[in-house]
Amino acid sequence: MNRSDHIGGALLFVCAGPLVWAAHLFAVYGAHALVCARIPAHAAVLPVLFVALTLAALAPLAYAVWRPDASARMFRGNRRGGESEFLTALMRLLALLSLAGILWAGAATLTLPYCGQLR
Amino acid sequence: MAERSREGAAARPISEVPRPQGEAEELRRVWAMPRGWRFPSAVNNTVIGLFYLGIAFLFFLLAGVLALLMRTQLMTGENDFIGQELYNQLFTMHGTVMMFLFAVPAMEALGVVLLPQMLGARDLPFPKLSSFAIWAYVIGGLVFFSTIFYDLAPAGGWFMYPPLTLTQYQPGNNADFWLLGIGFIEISAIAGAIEIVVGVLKTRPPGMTLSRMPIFAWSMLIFAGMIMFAFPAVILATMLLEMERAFGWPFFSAARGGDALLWQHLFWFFGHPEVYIIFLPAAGLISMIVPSFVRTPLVGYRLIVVALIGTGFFSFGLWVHHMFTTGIPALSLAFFSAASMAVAIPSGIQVFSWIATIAAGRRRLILTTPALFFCGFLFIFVLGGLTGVMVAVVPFDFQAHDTYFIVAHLHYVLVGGMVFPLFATFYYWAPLFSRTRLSERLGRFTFWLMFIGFNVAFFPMHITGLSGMPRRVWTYPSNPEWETLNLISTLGAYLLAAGVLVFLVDLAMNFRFSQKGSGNVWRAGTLEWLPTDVYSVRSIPHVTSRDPLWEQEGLAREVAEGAHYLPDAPTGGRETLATSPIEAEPQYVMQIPGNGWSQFFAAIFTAAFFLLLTIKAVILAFVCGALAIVFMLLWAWPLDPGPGKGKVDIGGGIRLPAYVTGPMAHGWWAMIVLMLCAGSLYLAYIFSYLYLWTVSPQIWPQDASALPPLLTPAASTVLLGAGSIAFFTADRLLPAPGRHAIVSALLAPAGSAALIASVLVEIWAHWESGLRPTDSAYAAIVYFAAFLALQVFIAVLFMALLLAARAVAGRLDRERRNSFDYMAMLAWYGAAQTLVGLLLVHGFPRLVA
Repeated sequence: MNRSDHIGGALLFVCAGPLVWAAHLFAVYGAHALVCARIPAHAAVLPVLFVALTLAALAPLAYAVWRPDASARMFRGNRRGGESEFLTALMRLLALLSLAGILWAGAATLTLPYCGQLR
Repeated sequence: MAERSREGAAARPISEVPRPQGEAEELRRVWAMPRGWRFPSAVNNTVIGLFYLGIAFLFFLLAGVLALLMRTQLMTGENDFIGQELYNQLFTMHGTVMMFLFAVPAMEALGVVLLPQMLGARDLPFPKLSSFAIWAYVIGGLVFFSTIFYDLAPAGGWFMYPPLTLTQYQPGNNADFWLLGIGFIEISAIAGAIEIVVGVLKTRPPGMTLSRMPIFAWSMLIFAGMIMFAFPAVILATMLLEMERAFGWPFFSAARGGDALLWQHLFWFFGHPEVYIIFLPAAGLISMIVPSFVRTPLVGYRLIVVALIGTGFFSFGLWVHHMFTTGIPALSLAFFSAASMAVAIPSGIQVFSWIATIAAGRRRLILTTPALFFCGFLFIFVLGGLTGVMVAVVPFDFQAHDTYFIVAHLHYVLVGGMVFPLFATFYYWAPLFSRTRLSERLGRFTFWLMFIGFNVAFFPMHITGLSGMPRRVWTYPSNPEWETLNLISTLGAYLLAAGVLVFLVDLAMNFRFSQKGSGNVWRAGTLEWLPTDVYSVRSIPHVTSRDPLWEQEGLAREVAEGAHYLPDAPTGGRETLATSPIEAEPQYVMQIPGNGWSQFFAAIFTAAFFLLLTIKAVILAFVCGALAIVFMLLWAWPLDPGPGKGKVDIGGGIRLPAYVTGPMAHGWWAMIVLMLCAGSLYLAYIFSYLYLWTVSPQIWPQDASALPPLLTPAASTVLLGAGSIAFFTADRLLPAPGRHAIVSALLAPAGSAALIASVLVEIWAHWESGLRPTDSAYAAIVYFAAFLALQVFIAVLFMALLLAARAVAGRLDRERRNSFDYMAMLAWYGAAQTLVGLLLVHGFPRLVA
């Protein structure tokens, strides 16, 4: 098999953006559900936590968009093949899409009450 | 792997022409289809795929009839045409049949029929698995539908929310038919997904790199990936609810620490991606049709791939938008509201790409029937998408929830996003399989009746809903506003049905099955329009572009002459070319099983097992289960043929092995996909465990003394380790070819026994500590971990027994070892999963106590 043909690494590389988006959603929703259900008295910690989680998600994605070669090395090693350019383009576009999704969800934490139901 | 470089292979002609006399006849003999009463033994993708599609369409018609009955009932207020009980069954069956028995199977059927043609392959890698999945679905689906005639149909809505569906509120077997019947059909869908993932990644023609893959193949790959992660959640949910109904394990009963909302989380984690599982393949079909009609490559190919992948991911982050009114804090709702709006971006990308393709077209879009259905799809789906953004806004959803506005929205999305593209598909691809094309004239009648009928039926429902009419009501007070709108909707529904009827007439008059079809009637650019016969393509093409029939002059002629790869049957049986997943470089000749009965009888007895369990005929059910296992073993016996055929010539001076092992083999890939599905199910289990603890911490042990002593999970861990080492040792002791693998044959069942023993120790430990699964949701979820582990290890045990038989028969050695590898993979996966379960069940309560 050609060394450029390692599908597992390619899959992680291309889907890095959506995977980080999913991790961010899991983290903010999980933390919110847990705090509001079990320790609502500590809800004031939530906005700080969410801003930190959102920045932690945005930073690697922004880096991946800016320096895709470094991400490619991380997931695919030094593999080079005819599809490298295509896979890199997919990764960058998906990372941009995920950046928008993460910002969108993260922005909500700045405007809404921590554990209220609003009705 | 290939003995000659790819560049060398690309030089034409790849195989010498003219081909020897009798070669095509040999291919026809190898790929011949059984006729008459032997039809159920057929596995050719065109035949079973079309059969699959036909049955899915039958369910569309049947569910449509149920819809007409409901619309007739709702035509006027206070109507007594249908009683409340039957109405509840009708709307439950309508939703269930449309979603589970029509939409997903129809898309999988299109994958089975079209993918090998689009990929220039002879067939998908596991035709018997396809056949098994199809027959299981046909039998299970028909029996499930027939329950409506015996007052046995489920009546809890297609989402089956507890507590309404618990035994105390719905006694009888009605809900069980849904839980066991649909759960079983979901397993069939997963089997189809395995086939599609491996087919798309391993059976593309040489040169068809990922960036040259048809968009439909991309969409089916993502469709199958979504099934792998979405369906296990609902399979787990149906198992939990059936356990509660049958044995009283209280996962959803609040009085014993359960929570009905757990069902909603699990169901919608499947249910929302389900919408995109249906839509993405339909969008993929549209992305194939549009370029063909304007004779121009798709504009924004990369962006469409990005949109498909992005939609696939985002769709998993939307499940809570079905639960906005359940009392979840507003901030959490905002996360899902954001995701619900974000998913509109990739959907929009696709719509703009199609419009740009038409604008950039080398010729004007001529409104043939498929093009009309495309336009209808665009109009209806965009409207459905816009109302989708509306209901993604939380305060609006509070108002519109459970009203007819939602009925209108979901039908605009699903009928627009799936049914209209499906009809475009019927008219566009029918010439592939029919001697004559479908009628343009009748097609236009079909389209206009369906388009006008649909909008007349469903547009007024937006207003009906906003004026306050709730959904799922069998009748309503006679007030002029609701009555007028409902009357209009009913008339529209009949108009829509008339359109479908005209299509049936067209089908009856003009569709005449033929393996050779009517040729490339649209002058399209993709491989499915190559000349074909019963063996699919005469030779497997070398591809150098996305639209090879447009850009590789003379390709169709060369392929038909046998001038490309694999123009013969070098192993003497069915085969296709396996290529690498990214660059599509030839790797090996994939031997494919031919026609047979074992998978058919396995499907019958598997269906019988589940259906008999539903009516509590337990002994007969287990007899059928045993027979199903026997036929599965018979099915598996001839697989793993070994390297006996050596290397074979595929043309162009390339010689490839006809048997490989390890990560290159397609079976290895299937096991990986299967383990991902199992892992996804286990993640849903872990979520359920933690969710129940979040909701009801008081039922968890308050101190560690209530738990089994740590010695017992330690004993289980030792047994897991012993079992795993047994498989490792068996691997190392596999003998050279020609010698019997007796030691390995003994070690594998012994290892399985150790793995099963580890679970039995775990069950015994909890039982001894006084815990009973019916005590509380905590107890039930603890025992359920053991149940999940046990089912994996029992499967491993059966594989180990088969392996022992293979060893005795001399069919197992160091080189002929795929059957061993796949069993060991499942065993090690099961051991790892069980270890995680032990940590959770014994560690977490100690941590929080």
